[in-house]
Amino acid sequence: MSEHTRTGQSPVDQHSLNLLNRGIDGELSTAERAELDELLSKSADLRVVSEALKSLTSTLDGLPEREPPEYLHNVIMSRVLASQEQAPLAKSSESNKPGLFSAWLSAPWARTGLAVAAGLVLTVGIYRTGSENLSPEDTSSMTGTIMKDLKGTLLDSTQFNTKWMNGKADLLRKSGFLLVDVYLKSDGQTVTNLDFSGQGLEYAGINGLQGQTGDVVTENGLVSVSSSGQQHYELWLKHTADFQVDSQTPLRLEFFANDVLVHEAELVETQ
Amino acid sequence: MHKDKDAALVHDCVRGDRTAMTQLVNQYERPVFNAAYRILGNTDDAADVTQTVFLKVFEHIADYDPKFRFFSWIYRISINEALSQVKKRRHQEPLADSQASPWRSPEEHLESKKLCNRVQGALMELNEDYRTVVVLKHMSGCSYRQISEILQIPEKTVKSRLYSARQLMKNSLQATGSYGDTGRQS
Repeated sequence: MSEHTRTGQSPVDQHSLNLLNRGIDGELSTAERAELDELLSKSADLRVVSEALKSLTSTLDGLPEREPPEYLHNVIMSRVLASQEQAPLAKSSESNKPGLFSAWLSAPWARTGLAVAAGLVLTVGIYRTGSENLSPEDTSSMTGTIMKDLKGTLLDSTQFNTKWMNGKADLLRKSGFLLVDVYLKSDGQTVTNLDFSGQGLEYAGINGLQGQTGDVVTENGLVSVSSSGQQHYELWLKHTADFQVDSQTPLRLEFFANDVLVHEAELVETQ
Repeated sequence: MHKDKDAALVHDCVRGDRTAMTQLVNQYERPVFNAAYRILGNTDDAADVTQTVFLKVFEHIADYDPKFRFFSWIYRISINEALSQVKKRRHQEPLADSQASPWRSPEEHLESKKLCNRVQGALMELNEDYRTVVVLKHMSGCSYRQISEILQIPEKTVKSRLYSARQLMKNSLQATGSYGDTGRQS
């Protein structure tokens, strides 16, 4: 099939169209420019096409740049630095072998990288236990395999099994950030509130929350995440310049299932 | 797209200089994210692709060949990752129109004017080969030669795809009345 057929019938010949396009891109020689001008002066159809193409390219060139999500830079840097701790940049004899890192990057479930990799392990665990509650063994095995070295340092943890919702939240230190790593399973709508006000912390982003079911609201030292079904996400926090070690109070967590508070916990950042 | 500056940064990154890594991310995060977004039409997927691109860049930076321009290398990784994401999405769960729409989030509703939305919509109707050259030409500001280098296809093919893509987009936009010459068929 020719380009011409694919792009629809046109009263303008291909040579003129090529000249028009190249003219728009500033690629014409003086002689070609003169030829195009003459063609334009003789053909109303070509002038119409020319105007439409100019409008299109002008709109394309003027499309606004998208602002990357706020969390993105921190998440990239943290993951890059974590990966460097795993595999230093300096080229070694092992550098061309596909390691664990390459394996999960190329895997079909690599959509959100590390967070989802851990989420997949969680999902397997949940399916294995069916509708049963998460046992300590289940969750420790989830975090102890793929994520053992990449997760960071575990500082504190909370876990709960209720008839409305099962969950676990770990407080971790990783690459200069604090992470609250949340696993949830519920049949209904859930809300997790994380209160870090007065702690010398600021919200740096969320990673792994599934886009179609999750929502995040942040306000003055509080992050509220709404979700449903199974979720695994990481809330990223970082210390502000006025952070003082001796003024710390615990991070407070609340878990709601269908608007009912099912679990409260405090996580402490041990030094 | 500063060749010497990039080369120096890459050199420092290979030596494990974290400041250089941060600078490289600062320099290319927006263009990589924007190219991915225009190909995928979805902020979440574009953010995921951007993360993966930088992980791959730093994982393989020691293998980067400085005789090529760094921006061509990182763009090639970005385009490959974005296209791979398009394929995965197609295999895993064909998105409903509402999910595939580039305007599904509140932020996206607010961001663009109607014409910009229609243009992005027309872009998403193109096949990936056409969409990629349009994104590289008009959003990333690459020349024919640079696109040829990034996609590793002849310049002649770049031009052919670009001109065809423009024609298809023009037709699509005229069909929705976005340009005022619907009276004439072109």
